[in-house]
Amino acid sequence: METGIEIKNLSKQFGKKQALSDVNLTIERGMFGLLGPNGAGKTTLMKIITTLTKKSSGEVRICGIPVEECKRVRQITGYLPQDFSMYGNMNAYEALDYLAVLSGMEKEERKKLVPEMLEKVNLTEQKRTKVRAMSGGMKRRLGIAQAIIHNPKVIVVDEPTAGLDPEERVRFRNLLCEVAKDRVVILSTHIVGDIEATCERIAVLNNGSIIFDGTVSGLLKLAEGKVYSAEVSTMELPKLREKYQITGMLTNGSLTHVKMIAQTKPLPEAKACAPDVEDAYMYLMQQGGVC
Amino acid sequence: MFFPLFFKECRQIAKSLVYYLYLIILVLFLTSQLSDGDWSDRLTEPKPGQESYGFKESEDETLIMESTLAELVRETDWNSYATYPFMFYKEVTLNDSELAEIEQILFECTGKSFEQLLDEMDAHFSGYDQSTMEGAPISGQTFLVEPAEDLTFEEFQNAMKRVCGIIGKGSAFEPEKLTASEPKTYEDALEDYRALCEKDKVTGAYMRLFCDYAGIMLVILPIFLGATRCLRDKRADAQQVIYARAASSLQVVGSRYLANLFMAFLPVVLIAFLLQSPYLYLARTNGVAPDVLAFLKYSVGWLLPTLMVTLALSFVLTELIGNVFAVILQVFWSFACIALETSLVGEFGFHLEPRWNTVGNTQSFFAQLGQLAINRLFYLLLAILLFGLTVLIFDRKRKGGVFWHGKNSKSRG
Repeated sequence: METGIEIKNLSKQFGKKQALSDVNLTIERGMFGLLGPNGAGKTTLMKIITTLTKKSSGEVRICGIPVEECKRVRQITGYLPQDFSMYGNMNAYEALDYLAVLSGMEKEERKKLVPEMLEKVNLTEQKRTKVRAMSGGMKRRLGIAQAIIHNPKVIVVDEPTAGLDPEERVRFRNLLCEVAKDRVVILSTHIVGDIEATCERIAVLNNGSIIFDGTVSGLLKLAEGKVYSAEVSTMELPKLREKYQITGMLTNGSLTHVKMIAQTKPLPEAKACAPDVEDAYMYLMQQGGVC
Repeated sequence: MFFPLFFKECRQIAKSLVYYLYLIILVLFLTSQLSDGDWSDRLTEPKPGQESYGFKESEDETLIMESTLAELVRETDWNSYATYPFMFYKEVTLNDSELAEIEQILFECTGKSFEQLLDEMDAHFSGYDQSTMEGAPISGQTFLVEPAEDLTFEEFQNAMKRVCGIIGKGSAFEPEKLTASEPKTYEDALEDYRALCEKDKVTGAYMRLFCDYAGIMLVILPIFLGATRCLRDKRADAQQVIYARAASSLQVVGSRYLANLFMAFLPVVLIAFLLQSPYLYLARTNGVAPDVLAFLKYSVGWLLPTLMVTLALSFVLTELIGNVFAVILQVFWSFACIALETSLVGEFGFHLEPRWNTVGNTQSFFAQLGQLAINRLFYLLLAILLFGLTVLIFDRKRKGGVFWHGKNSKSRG
């Protein structure tokens, strides 16, 4: 596959800890969501794809290039790490230009592309702002600019919206969708809303293993008929919580409207309802996963 | 890719506070140590029949014993011994039992009691006014203490070893440092003058003294430049984003190392040039053709290998250890290197900082030039080796390599 990522029987161990276990994935052009709780192995997988961590076994090919060929892989990948930052005394322009040099870009190319990228991520007015003075959102936007400036075929974005306010988050998701038009973008996150808003294909990782690989609608289908809503007395809530996984609730005086996951109808007055991605994800995690 | 990276690194260094501290300390140290010195006498050709032609180091064992014993009597009388344990002056004061031991050693070496020796010294110094030094005997006719008749030089050296055991390291009584001076003859003075003008071309002699002082700074100060650069990625939390770029480890580390080397060396060369300038003028006014490029030759040949090694070691240790312990470790190493110097002039061996704490001594310097060349070549190769190691460590860290002080990054996902 010349335009995507192929992962076969990938395993990674850190000492005695099995971070990834027999992972198999095929990722094609477009936005791909990698979902999982903290510590599931998402960052490890991202780092293997970006050559920052060596795999213990298995095979990983980025656009047909084995991941062992670090230099070639780095030329075609862009990476936005979880806590992106750069030297605090550099301004946005300098930081982007420096990273462009490290990607092997020539002066003329940089002169043209650096302002273009800053424009694209809406940082033109802040091009003289020092990195140390940037807000979290500005840093992430600079991060995405550095990840795409060398026109990579694959972009890996690790937890990009953590800590952003809702407005910044929406803006960032839109930006990601825009850059994913003609390349592979892997979005790793534990925030279900990010995946729901941007990805068609997703994989769910838990304890180092893929527990779901498919489309968003496929994930939703898994939870069909397993999500119920009901209006219960607020006093009953603790008891209900013990028995069922509550995925949403809205309190109104002494009554609370709850949404929960259950194999069968949990209460006589409960009604089956259509699951959203968060419900489906919670259901999957509760079940332990089906691929 | 290399040159744009190199220039960007230089620009970053020029904005760094550590670099300005480096500049300030270097300039203050060198200008304070090298600002004086009257050379007009040295650049005048000696003529037969002069009252004095200066002094030279003597190899006469009897004279060395006489001179050393006289110095020991003097320092024991004051109970103040000058030592340089780490190349810096330290006054040593002894207690009564230690003083008694020294007096016993003096007795063994001279056959005279300490009181007798003091009387001899008083008689010698009473010959002139010590406050105005009027009528003072010139060195060479100075106070000397005659050793016992049957005392061999080897026995004397052993006795001085015992003295060092009492007062500590770094004194003038170290058996291998024992020396005395004797007056130069007209022929000696003429030979020295010719060597200064023809071989050193005046500026060379001064540049050796410059290298001596600058070398001390270059064993210590570049540590901080190197460590600052290597810790910068980590401090800025920019390691992963840099590691993931296409640039090779050789290009990344190479540009950083060479930029630091260039920026650290540039002020050294400029200061050397500025401090050499008065001697160019002095030489020309005395009708001697100076070596205009001596500042560059000595800076590159003498100081550059020291700077390269210090910087390369700083890079390798900081990349390997990844925290401030690398700096502490290297500061210890640097001070040890300075402390292990056995001679202030020559005897280069494999010392990191070749010392030549004197102006001139041209003949002696050229006799040891081969030794110096081997020394410098060794450190040049060592610097290249350390640089190569840094590249390997950086490359390994880029691929998720783990060292004993923790992983280069954390996996949280």
